[in-house]
Amino acid sequence: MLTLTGTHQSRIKRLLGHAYRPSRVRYWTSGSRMVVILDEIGKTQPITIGFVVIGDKVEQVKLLIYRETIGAEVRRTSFTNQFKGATLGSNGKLSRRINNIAGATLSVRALTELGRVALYLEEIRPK
Amino acid sequence: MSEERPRKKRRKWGPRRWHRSVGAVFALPLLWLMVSGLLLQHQDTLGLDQRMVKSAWLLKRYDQIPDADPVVTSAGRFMIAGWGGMLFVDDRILEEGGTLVGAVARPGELVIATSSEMFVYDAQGEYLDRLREESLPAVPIERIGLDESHRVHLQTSAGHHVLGQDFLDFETVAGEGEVAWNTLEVGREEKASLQEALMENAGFTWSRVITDLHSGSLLGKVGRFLVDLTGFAVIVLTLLGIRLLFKRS
Repeated sequence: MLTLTGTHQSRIKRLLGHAYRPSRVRYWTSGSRMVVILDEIGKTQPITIGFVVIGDKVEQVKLLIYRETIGAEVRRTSFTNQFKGATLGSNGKLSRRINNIAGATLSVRALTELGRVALYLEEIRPK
Repeated sequence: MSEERPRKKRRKWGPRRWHRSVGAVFALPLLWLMVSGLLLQHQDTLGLDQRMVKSAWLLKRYDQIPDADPVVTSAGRFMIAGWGGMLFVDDRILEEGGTLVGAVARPGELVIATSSEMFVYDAQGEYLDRLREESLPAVPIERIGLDESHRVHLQTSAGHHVLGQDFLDFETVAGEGEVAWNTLEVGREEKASLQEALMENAGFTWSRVITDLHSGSLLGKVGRFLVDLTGFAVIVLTLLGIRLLFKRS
C-alpha cells in the first residue's frame, strides 16, 4: 500500500492533468515487478487498466474493464504493446510515442496518462 | 302579424377585436416572459448566477431531494447514511455514491460498502481509496462486517469472503464465523438534517431556475407548450398591429 503525500499528489496532478483523489494506491510486487491497477475516465465512464512495471519500464498494459460504448479498440494487444519499454521522462512524458486511434482519442489519452502515473508510482514506492 | 324583432347585428371579429382579445389572454404570460428575460439579461449584476436555491420544494422538482426515506447505520463514531444513491458521513455529502449496503470502522479507517464498490476513509473522514468490482471478490455486495481482528468481511453473490491486509487480496470463508455484520435502519429522524445538507449543497442557482421558468421547462411539457403559444401570440399581435396601422392609414 502506497500512501501519497501532498508532493506526490501534486506530481500526479501534473502527469494526469487533474487531481487524483485517492490518497492510497494498492500495488502488488513479485520480485522487481510491480503491478498496479488504476482507473481513469475516458469519455464519460471509468476505464480500469492494469500496469506491470519492471525497473523503470512498462512491461505490460492490460485493459481490465472497458465501460464506454465506443473506442474499445484500445483493448487490442496491438495497441497496448506500444507501451512496452516506455519510461517516464523528466518532462513527464512517456519515452515512447503512443499512436492515437481515431474515435478513441479520449481512451487513448486516459491510458497514456495512467501509464505515466504507473511509472511514477514505481519511482516512489518503497523498495 | 307580429312585429319582427330587429336582428341583432353580429359584430365581426376584425383585426382590432382579435388584437384586443389575444393581448388580453396572453398579457400575463407575456409579462412573465419579459420580466424573466430581463432578469436573465442582467443575471450577473443581480448575482442570480451566484445565489443558490435553498427551497426544498424547488429542489424536489429538480429531483435533488429524494422522495424515499434514507437508510442509516453507525460505524465507530460516524453516522453513515444512504439516500437516493447519495452517501453521507455525519450529514456531510460524499463525492462518492451508490446504494449503501453498510459500513464498518477499523482502527484509523472507515469502510463504506455500496452494492458495487467499497470506499475507504481515514479517521477524519477523508477519502483514501476506492475498490471497484475488479478488486472485490464479487458484486453485488450484500453486507459488510468486521471480525475480532478488525478484518473486513463481505457477503456477496459469490459467498462469504474476508479481505486481507490493505485489501490486496481476499479469501473465501466457510460458514458465518464470528463476524459482526453491519445492519441498516430507516432513518426517518435523520431525514431533516440530511435534507438540510442537500439544500446547502445542491449547487442550483436562481439563474438556472429562472431560465427553466422562462422556457417553461420547469412546468414540463405543458409549460413549454404555453411558452410556445405565447411566442406565437406575439407574432399574431405584431401582424395584427401592422394590419391596424395600415388600416388606419
